[in-house]
Amino acid sequence: MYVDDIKQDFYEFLSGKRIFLIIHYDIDSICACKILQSLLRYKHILYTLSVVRGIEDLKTAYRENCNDVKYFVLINCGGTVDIVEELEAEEDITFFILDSHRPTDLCNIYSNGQVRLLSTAEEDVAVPDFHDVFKEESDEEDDEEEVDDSDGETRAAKRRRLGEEEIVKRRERRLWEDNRNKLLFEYSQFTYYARASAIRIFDLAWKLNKDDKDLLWLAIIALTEQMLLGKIEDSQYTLEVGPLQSHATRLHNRTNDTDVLTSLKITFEKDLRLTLYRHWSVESSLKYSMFPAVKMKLWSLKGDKKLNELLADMGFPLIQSRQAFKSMDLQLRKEFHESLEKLSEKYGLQDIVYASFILQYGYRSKYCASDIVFALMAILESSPRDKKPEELFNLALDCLSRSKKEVLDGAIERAKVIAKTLFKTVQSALDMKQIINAGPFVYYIIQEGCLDWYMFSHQHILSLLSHFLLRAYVAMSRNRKASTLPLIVSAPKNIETGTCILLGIPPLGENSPKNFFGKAFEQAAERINCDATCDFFDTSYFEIHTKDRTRFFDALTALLS
Amino acid sequence: MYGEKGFALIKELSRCKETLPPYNTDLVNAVSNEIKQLLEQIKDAQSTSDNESALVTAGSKISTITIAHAGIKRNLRCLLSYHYNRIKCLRTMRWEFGSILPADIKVNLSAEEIEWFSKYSQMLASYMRSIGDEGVNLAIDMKPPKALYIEVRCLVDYGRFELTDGSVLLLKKDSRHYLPRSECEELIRQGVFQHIV
Repeated sequence: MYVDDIKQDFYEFLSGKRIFLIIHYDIDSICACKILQSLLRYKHILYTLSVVRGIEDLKTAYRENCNDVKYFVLINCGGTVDIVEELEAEEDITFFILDSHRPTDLCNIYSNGQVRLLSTAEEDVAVPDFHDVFKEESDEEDDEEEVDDSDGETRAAKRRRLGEEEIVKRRERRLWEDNRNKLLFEYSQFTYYARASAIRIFDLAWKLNKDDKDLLWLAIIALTEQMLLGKIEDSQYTLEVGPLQSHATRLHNRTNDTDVLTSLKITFEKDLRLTLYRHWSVESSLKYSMFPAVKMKLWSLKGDKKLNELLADMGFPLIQSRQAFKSMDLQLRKEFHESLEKLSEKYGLQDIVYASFILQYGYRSKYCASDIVFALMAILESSPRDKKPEELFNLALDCLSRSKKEVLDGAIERAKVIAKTLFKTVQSALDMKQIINAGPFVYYIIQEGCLDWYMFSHQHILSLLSHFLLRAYVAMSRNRKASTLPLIVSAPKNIETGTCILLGIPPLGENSPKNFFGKAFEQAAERINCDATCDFFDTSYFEIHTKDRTRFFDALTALLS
Repeated sequence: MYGEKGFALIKELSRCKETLPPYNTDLVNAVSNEIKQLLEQIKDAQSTSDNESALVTAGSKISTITIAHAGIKRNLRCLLSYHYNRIKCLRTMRWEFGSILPADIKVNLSAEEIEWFSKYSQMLASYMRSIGDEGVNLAIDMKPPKALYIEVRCLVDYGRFELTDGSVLLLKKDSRHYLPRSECEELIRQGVFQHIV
C-alpha cells in the first residue's frame, strides 16, 4: 500500500508513538536517516535506531524489538522482499518502508495497510495488476463448496458435466498461472534503483516547512552517491538536480543570522569528474580518477606521457601540479577549471564537466558533494577491520555534522588511498590480462592475497571497481563486441567460511543501470545446486562458496548464451 | 617565626584550588599549639609585670604582648580560612555528586568535615522536601536544559530498560535512542549512555 499523503499518514500519524528505525548500511540511507531524525525531533517522537547490512541483520533487529515497538520504519531495506512473510510479523505491527531498491515486492505493494510504502506509485514501473497476480482464495473455497453441495444432491447425473466444468476451470487456472509467472518474471527481471530516499524525505521536510541548508546538503549527497556509483542514469541525475538547485536558491535567499555567522553557502556549480582534486594534487587526481584514466588510458606508458602533455598544454609546471591543490599558485588554481575544459576536446575528455553542488562554510572549508561521498565511503568500507559496522555508522553520522572537521579530513585521506588502490588493481588486471572473456560475459576474480583484496569485499568499493574495470576493458579491448558484454567481478568475502562475493554489472553499451544479474545468479545457483546465501538487498550482489565458483560461472555461461 | 605554619596552610589551599587535598592534621595541630604557646607568653608577661612594677621594663613587655597577640590573631584567621575554604569546596561537591561522596574524596576528610557534610545533606534534603507538595530535587538540571528530549548512544549491552510510562526498550551496544532527558540522566551518569550533541 502506498502512503498517499506522506505528511498526514506518516509524519502526523507517528506523533506520540514509539518507533523503530532500521537503516540500511549505505550512504543514501545515512543521509535519509539524518534528515528524518531532525524531523522526528520536532514532534518529540521517541525512536530507536539500528543499522542493518542484510536480511539476516534485519531479522535479528526485528526479533529483538518486535515485542516492545509496534511501528517500524525501514529505510532502503525490506522493500524488495515480502516483509511480512520474511519476518513472520504479527498483525498489529506496521511497517513504513522507504526503499530505493527496485522492483518493490508485489506483496508489499498490495498489502492491506500493514506495509506502507513511502515512495510514490509512479516510481514503480509496470506493476502487474492485482488480479493478474493474486486470486482471492475465499472465492475458490466457495466454488469448491458449491461443487461439493451439488455433487451430493444429484450425483450421477451431473458428474459428467461437472467433470467438464472442472476441466475448463483447471485450464483457465493453468493459463492464469502461466500468465502470472510471465508477468512476475517480467516485473522482477531487472533490479535497479529509483529516486534516492533522502530526496523523498527532504521533500517531506520541505512540505513541513522545516527544511534548511543542512538537510538540503544531505539530499544532495545522496543524489551524488547514486550518480557516482552508477545507480541511476545520467538523465535521471540531471532531472533530479533541477529541483535541488531551486531549493538551494530559495534557501539561500532565506538567510538567517546563524548563516551569516558561519557563512554557510550551497552553490550550484559546474564541476570536474575528478576525484577529490580540491584536497589532492592536480596530477594525482587526474591520474587516479576513473574518467580521465579511462579516456586517456593512463595505466599505460603512453597514457602517462599523454597526461604530462596535457599538463604542459594547460601550462601547469610539474612542481605546481604535484603539490596540494590548496597550496598551488592562485592564478593556476583559478585557471584550472577553464584550461581543462578548453583542452577537453583535444584529449578526448568531453563530458568531464558536470553540474554539482559545493558546500562552503567559514572561510576555509569548501567541499564538493562528491568529496563527501568518497569520504563517507572510506569511513563505511575501508576502516580497520576490527571496528563494528555500528561504530562506523556512528562515525559516518559524525562526519556529516559540520563540527567534526577532523573526522572528515581523515576520511578524505583514506579515500585517496581507495582511489589509488582502485587504479592499481585495474592496471594490474589489464597488464596481466586477468579479465577473462567467458562468451556471454567477462569476469574478473580478485585473488586472496592480491593487493588490498579485503577492501573489495564491501559493496560500494566493489561497485566502483567493477565500473572502472568494465570501462577500462572496453577502452582497451580490440573486440568490437566488448561494449555489449556485461562484467562480473568476484572478491573474497570471508576467508574463514570460504565465501566470495559476486557483483554483476550490465554492459556499457546499454547505457542503463538496469541489472539482470539478480535473477541470473539465482537460476545459476539453482542449476548447480550450491547453497548460496543472498543476504543483500541489492540482488546484483551474490555470495557463494569459493570452491563452487568455477561451476557457477559455467552454469551462468550456459544460462546466458 | 610566628605565623609561618599558618601561612603554610594557606599556601596549601591556594596550590590545590577546587580540589580537596587530605586534611592536614599535623599542620593544623602545629598551628593550634603555636597559639597556645603565644597565649602562655602573654600570661607570663602579665604575671611578671604584676610582681615587678618597674617602669623600665614596661615598654618591652607591651611590645611582647602586642606581637604575641597579633600572632594569635593571624593564626586564627589562617585556621578559619583553611576550614572555610575546604567546606566551601565540600558544599559544591554536594551539589555535584549528590549525598554520597566518592570514596577517594571521603578519605581526605576529617571526622568533623564528614559530620558537617551529613548534616548539610540532611538540611538540604529536608528543605527540598518542604517545597511544594512533593518536594523538588534542586540538584538536577543545574543548567536549564535546551531540549526535553535528547539523542543518546548506548555504550554497553544493558538489556531491557523500562521507561516511566511503562514502555520497554532494548538497550544494545551502539544503538541510538531518542528519549526524554529525565529518563536518560541517570544512565548517562552511570556511563551506559553517551549524549550525542
